[in-house]
Amino acid sequence: MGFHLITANNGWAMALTGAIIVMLGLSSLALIISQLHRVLLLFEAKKSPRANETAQDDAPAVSIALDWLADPDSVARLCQVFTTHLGGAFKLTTLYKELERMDCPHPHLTIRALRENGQLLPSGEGLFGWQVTY
Amino acid sequence: MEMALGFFQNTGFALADWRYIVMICVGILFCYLSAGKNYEPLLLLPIGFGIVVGNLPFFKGFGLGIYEANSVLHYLYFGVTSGVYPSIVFLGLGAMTDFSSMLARPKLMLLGAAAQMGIYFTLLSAMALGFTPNEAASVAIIGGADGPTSIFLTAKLAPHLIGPVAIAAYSYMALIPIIQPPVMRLLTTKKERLIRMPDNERHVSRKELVIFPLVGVVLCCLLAPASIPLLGPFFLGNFMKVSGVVDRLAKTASSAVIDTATIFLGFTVGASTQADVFLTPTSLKIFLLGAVAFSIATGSGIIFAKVMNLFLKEKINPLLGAAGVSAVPGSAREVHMVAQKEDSGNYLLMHAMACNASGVIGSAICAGILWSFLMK
Repeated sequence: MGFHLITANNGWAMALTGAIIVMLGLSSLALIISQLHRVLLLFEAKKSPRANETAQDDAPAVSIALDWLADPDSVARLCQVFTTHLGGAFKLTTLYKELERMDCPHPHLTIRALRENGQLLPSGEGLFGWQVTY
Repeated sequence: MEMALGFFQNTGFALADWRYIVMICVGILFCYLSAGKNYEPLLLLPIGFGIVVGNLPFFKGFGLGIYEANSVLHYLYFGVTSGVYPSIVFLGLGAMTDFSSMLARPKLMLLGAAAQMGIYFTLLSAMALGFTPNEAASVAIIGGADGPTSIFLTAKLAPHLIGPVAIAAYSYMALIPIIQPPVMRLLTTKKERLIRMPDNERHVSRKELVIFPLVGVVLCCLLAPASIPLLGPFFLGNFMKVSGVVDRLAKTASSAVIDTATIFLGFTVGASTQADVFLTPTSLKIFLLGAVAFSIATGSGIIFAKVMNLFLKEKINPLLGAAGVSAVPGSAREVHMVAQKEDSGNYLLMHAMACNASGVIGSAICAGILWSFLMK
């Protein structure tokens, strides 16, 4: 078919070598990434009092998220106040930006929880609206 | 009367021939597809308009055309031929990319690597069809599904093919919703498409996000130094984003800078696509090979995922392999939607974004590898 052209231009070697190089490169990067958090934990462990403080700092952040989302109706009510100017239908990205602007804790988790609890419902064409308007 | 006649003979009406008219119609079609149908408007709109402008006939020798020295278009085109615009676009892309999905799911990076096999298969196909090695590499990189990378490599290796390669690359990126789903359905069973991916991935710390661009640029550019012009700015953009200390620079890179480069890149690539280069059998071969490249890239990612599943206890949904192409976020969205059609509770988007992000890095590495093979 044209195999002689491929051979004449050293195509087989280029293709095989190139494929191996890119696989090896990304595999190495994946391996390093997969171990990176463990290496960082080792460094953190060496500075153990500081590491414990960091762990404790993380724990309140997680519990704030859980507390914030414990009552979805209140969250929905508050979010509606933040977003009255968006009208009855809006994109989730717009809602996300508004929540971020208003320093709402964990806007992404908030929107997800509101969706899962049915407070935010799709209203067609990629737009969403509130199930109940407060 | 003579003056009027002389004036008329110098207008575009008198200088036009059928090839220019066909190309202007092609440009108008691209403008319609972008503005009317919303197909990849960020690129197809300036490209389409550029095709129209670049094919308006004029009298040569007065510094008007894109290939005439000292013309405005020629100066703007310098950013394409020198590879400046693709580098700037990659800076902006890095500043917009969130690698947390990829860092939380590193094994999905292998699917990004596997999807680059489309590039090498197309390289062989292009050589078999009579393209020179430089031309074959320029055509093959279309399989990476990355417009700036395609333009960058073609500008270095086969500048006369920039027009058809760029248009093929961006056209196929716009056609991902048509090209990928049939390949995905053909290569996977219903049972495989229903595989749910775990949602309990570990939280990626800020330190990891900050260290990753440094590790990435050092490792990838040591491996393929020819990818420095693309991956250097890419990881710089990402580092600016995640460091949190230069938010202004990161925002500028991800907005004004990339938008400016995108406008000039698209417009001048379109203007450079003249009838004598575009309306040839070579362009038709490039378009055909581009379709093959996209399909093979999609298929190789899916097949590699199935191979990985032979060795994994926790199976990967093979659809994710299709997201290994570099078309962010179009192919990730298609994977998610195909999975949703089978099971509306199956959310693959974040997993697919991990493969997509890896594909961006993979296609840039492939461009560097091909350039280094063919450098003289």
